[in-house]
Amino acid sequence: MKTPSRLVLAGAGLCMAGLLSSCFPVRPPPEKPVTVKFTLPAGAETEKLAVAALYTTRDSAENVVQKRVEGAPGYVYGTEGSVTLQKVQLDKVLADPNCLPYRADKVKQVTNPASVRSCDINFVVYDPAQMTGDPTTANLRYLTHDTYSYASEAYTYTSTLGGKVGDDTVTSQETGSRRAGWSLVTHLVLNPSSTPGTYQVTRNSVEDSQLNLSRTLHRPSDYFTSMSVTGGKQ
Amino acid sequence: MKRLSIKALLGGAVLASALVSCGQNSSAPDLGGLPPLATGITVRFDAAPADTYLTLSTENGEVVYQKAVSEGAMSFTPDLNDWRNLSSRAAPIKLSSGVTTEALLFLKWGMFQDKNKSGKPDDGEWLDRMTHDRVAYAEKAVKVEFDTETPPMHHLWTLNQGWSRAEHYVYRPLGSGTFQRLSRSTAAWDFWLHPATPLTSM
Repeated sequence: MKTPSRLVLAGAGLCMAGLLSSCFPVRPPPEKPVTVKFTLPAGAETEKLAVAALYTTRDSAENVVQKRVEGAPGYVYGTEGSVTLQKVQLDKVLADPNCLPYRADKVKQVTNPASVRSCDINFVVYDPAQMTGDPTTANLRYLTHDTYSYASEAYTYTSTLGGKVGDDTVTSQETGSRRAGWSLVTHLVLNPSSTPGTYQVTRNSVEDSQLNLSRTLHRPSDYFTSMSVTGGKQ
Repeated sequence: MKRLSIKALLGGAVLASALVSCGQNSSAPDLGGLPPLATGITVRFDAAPADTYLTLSTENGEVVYQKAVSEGAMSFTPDLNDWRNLSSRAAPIKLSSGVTTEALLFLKWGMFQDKNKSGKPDDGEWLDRMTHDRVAYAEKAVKVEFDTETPPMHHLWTLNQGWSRAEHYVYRPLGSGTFQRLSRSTAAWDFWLHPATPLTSM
């Protein structure tokens, strides 16, 4: 009589512990994929286009290049598009020791704190019919300078760049802030009326709720005139 | 056996109460969705100086709404009901293309510092803060395209019926002398005031 009752109590205790621990789970939440949505310009020949996620890195010759984020499917439907990034793909980008901020060849970030690792994923719509490999300048149709970006810790930065629009010498003053980890970064260019030769570029991390909204894509543009971010074409 | 049953009952009661209480404490299950967008209207700006008002004006410059903003404030959350009745001012707009739109009303944000405490914007009191985004009212949904010569610009307006935020989006494609400008209703009501810029700038 005594032995079975102890067994029953021990069993009940184990069950209770198990049930209670299930009330307070210690498992981390599942890693959520991130979907970035886009709106293409009206009139785009959307039926033959595709979206790709690219990230900035260095090739073997030390040139700053954009490589495709492998395994991140992108879709275009009507004038809407999307790319979904799984954690495994984000991890692959970070596994590249050379991954860099967007357009790192032109925008030299002076960061605070000084030592921080930052890698950016950007998005393009291209014509896959003309594609032999990654999206290229030749098959690029639309893009956004909004990025999905990683920072090893929260930081701010500045970057100043001179250039020309037509015969006019202009200056781009870029500032930005990043949250630690991955975040959506939006790109804004202002050309203040009071300083016509100056373009103020802002690229800040925004709240995750902004992923509910589509990024508006545009045709490739010269950087100083409007939506582009760095010197030269695109 | 009877004592054991009582113990088991007691244990069960403790267990049940523990489970009930922890059930009450647990938060809603995380289904993996995005945090929702804020539903209200937010106007953001650099820290407001003393005696500042946030305003909505018609394109002709008539102030139709103003609210005092606390010194140092960096945002304000206005109530659409404060200007909802202005929809009666919506009127068709004749575009440069010769097309006339449905009845529309655009209102623009501004800020003035009421230095002389007159309660209204006087000369020299407007602050260098604006946005090309508009508070818009459309009697019916609008989709219209037209061109302007100065600046050389192709415009596309897509506005929802009723009140909305009309987002300004502009760029100039590579190799083109013509700016492309969108003014379209968006799901978010976030405005950000910045120093004055021409229409060719974001």
